[in-house]
Amino acid sequence: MARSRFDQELDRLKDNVLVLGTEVQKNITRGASALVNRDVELANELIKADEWVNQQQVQLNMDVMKLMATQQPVARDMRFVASLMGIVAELERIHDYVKDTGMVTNQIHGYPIPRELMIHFPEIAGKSADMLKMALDAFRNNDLEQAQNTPDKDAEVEALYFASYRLFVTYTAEHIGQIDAINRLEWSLHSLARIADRTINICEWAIYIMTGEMVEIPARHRPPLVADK
Amino acid sequence: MIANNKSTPTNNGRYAIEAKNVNIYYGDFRAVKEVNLQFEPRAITALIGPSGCGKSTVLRAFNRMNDLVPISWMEGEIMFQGKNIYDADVDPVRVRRQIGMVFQKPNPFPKSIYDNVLWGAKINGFKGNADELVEQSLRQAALWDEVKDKLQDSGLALSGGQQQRLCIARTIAVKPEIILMDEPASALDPISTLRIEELIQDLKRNYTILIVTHNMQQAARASDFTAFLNMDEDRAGYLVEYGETDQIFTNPQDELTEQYITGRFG
Repeated sequence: MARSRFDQELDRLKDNVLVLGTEVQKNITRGASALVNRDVELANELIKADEWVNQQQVQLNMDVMKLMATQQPVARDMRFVASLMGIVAELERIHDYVKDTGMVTNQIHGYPIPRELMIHFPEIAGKSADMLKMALDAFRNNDLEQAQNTPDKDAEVEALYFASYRLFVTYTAEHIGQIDAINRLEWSLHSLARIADRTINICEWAIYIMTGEMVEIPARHRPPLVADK
Repeated sequence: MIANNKSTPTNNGRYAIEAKNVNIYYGDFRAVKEVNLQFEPRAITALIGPSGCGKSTVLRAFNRMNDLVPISWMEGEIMFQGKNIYDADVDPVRVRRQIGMVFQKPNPFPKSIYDNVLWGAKINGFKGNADELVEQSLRQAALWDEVKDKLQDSGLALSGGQQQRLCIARTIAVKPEIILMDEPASALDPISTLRIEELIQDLKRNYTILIVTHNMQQAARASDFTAFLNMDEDRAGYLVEYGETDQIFTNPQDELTEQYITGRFG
């Protein structure tokens, strides 16, 4: 092979992205778990983990730029390295959402919010994490079909988000005195659901690597207003 | 297959020059096989491909330079201004005036800078204002400011990059329609190379430019269209893919092109 060192470096960077992706994926469900179980220790662990994720992004971006400067990748190689930066940016943002759940866990600690309000949180996180795994697998295996099909799973996340949102609206109306804490929790709900949208962007990057086409897969719709009178 | 958003009409119809079913032979050996290529006017087209794929041979076919190789012969047509330049009634000298060539190694004559520029124009019976033509040609070749005070110095006293721009000025002075360039920067240092590339960009306002290059970054930087040629098992060159340079270097359609431009060929 004429460019074996270059190919080795591309493989190494791909591995690094996948390692990062696996960590981020794991922390999505942990974030929901911290919230639901009011686990402050786990929340702080996730907040701390975000520093590592940020460092990984900086390192990968530097590695990619070095590769661009020294190897002048073109065609699929160029699409691949450009997409690495795109995918890592999405992973970093996803982990910001995880970090947010950790911070909200700390903020609402001690507030009497019923567990039922978060009944869908673990499932939303689980489905979002599953979507992320599917997207990363599609990227790992150059599986175009999976990259194209994974965004469909967002509908399940969206349905749960909508169901949760209704709960929040109803509960808020009845517990107006807790509105600040409820509002912060609703941000976390939103964050967990946004993970699926960010995952769709990862699918778009994977499709770009494989086809050269930049596609825009529409993100989730906002729920209609439910309680205004 | 041909992208056309950069084309402008010319007296040759849609294309500046066109190769139709071109086969080129050296004796019994077929060096170029069934090449069909249409070149956009006032654009830069790069011909790339591995050594021996026939890209220089194809380039030379466009101004009948292969005629000078006794064992070389050709099938097919090169259409220019509505006529096949290989028709019996076409004067090859006139063809070479309208379709000029710049070679790999700068080849100024052992004469003054002034006479170098004027050389081809004089041979072609130029009767106008010589000073004006020299200045205009040297300005177009981005050399005027460097040589305006020493026009009577020998062309050979210039640096390699300046010599190549002098050769470009000499080519421009005969007012061609098309300029063929066979690796025009491969003998130059990186800075001189970039100056030539800048110059080529400026020249496309007035000329159609075909450039053979081994340097893929150069093709990517300096051309609007790229044609990739490869060699088949009989060592005959053939066209693999042609398209806009942006597309060829971001998303080539042929796997062979992908392998070649990413350096994984063979």
